[in-house]
Amino acid sequence: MPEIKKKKVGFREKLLAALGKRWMYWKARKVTKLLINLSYREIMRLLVELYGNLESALNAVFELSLHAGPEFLNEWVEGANVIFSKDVSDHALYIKSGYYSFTGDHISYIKYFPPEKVGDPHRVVWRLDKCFVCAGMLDDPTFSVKKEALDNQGWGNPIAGIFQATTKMINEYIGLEFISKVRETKCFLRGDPYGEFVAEFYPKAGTKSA
Amino acid sequence: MISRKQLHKEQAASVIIAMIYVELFSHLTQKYESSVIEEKLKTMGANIAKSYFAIYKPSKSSISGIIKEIAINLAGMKRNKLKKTEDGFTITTLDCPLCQPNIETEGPHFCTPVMVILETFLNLSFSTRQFPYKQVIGTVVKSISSGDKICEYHYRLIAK
Repeated sequence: MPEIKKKKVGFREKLLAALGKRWMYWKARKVTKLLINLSYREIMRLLVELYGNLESALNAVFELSLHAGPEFLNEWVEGANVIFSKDVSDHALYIKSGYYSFTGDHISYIKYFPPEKVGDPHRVVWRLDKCFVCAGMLDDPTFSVKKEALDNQGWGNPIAGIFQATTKMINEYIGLEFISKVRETKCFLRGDPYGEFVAEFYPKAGTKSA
Repeated sequence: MISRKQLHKEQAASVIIAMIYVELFSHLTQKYESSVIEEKLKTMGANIAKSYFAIYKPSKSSISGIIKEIAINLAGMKRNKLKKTEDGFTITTLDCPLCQPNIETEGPHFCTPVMVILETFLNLSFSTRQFPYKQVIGTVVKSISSGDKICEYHYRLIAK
C-alpha cells in the first residue's frame, strides 16, 4: 500500500478524478438503472419478510451494504488512491468521484462543512436531484412505502451504507484517524424535494484531531 | 423525480446490486432451507420481470432475439452464447450481473433471479404476441458463484 503524503488535493488530483471516474464508469459491468431499482425493491420485500417491518428492513439493508463494502469496493479504493490526500475535507471529492464511477451521474450539490465547535464532526453534505432507487416507488402497485412507515429511515439507505463503507476504507488506506458515519437526511419518499446524504467524520479518541 | 421509463435508458454498475444481493443471500441461507430460498429467488426474478415488462417490451420478434435483447440491453450480459437443444435452448454467459468470480456460495443457484427474469420476459411475450409456444420453463444448469466457469440456463419450450 503506497504511503499518502499529499496534504490537500490540487489541480492535478482534481483532473485525475474527473478523468478517472469516467474511465471507471466506462469499464464497469453495467445494467439498466431500472433493473437495479426493481431488484432493490425485491430485496427490500424479502428483508421486510425477514425482519417484520419496513424500518427494521431499512436498518438491515444499511448494515448489509456496509458489510459488503470491503469485498466489493476495494478495487475502487485501490484505483482511486492517486487522488487521496491527508485532508479530511477532500472526502467531498472522493464521494463525488465515487458516485459517478458507479452510477454515471454527477452530484450537483456537494459541500464540506468544518466543525463549528469542539466535538462537532467534519461534515460533507450532498444532494441528489434524481434518485434511481426511489423512482417509481410512490405509485408502485406491488409495494407500498408509506411516509410514516419509513420513520427516520430513508429508502436510499444502501447508498448511505455503501458510502460509509467507502469512506471508512479510504480513512484506513490514508491513515486518517477519523470514524465516518453516513446517513440519508432527506428522501423523495418522505416528501423532500431531493435526496440528501450527510457524511460525518469524528476524530478517533486520543488522536491529534480529537 | 426521475421516472422508471427514464431509468430503463440509463445504466449503472451492476456491483451496486450484486453487493447487497450477496449479503441478502447469506441471510436467506441462515433462515430458510434451500428449496424455500429457491422459490423466493424465483418470485424475486418474476416480480422484477413483470414490473419491467409493464414499462418496456422487447422490440425483437424471435425467441433468440428477445433473449439476446434482454440479456444484453437490460442485464449487461454482453458475452453470451445461445444454443439450440432438443427441447428448447440454452444460454451461457460470462457476464452474469449477480455472480462474482471471487464469491462462492452454497445452496440454490445464486443467479436464479437472472434465469427467471429471462424466462418471465419470454412467457409474457408468448402471451402478448403470436408464438407457436405457450410456455417456457427455465432452470439454472451452471452458476459462476456455485464454482462453475460460466453461468448456463436451460429453457424448455412447450408447444401450444
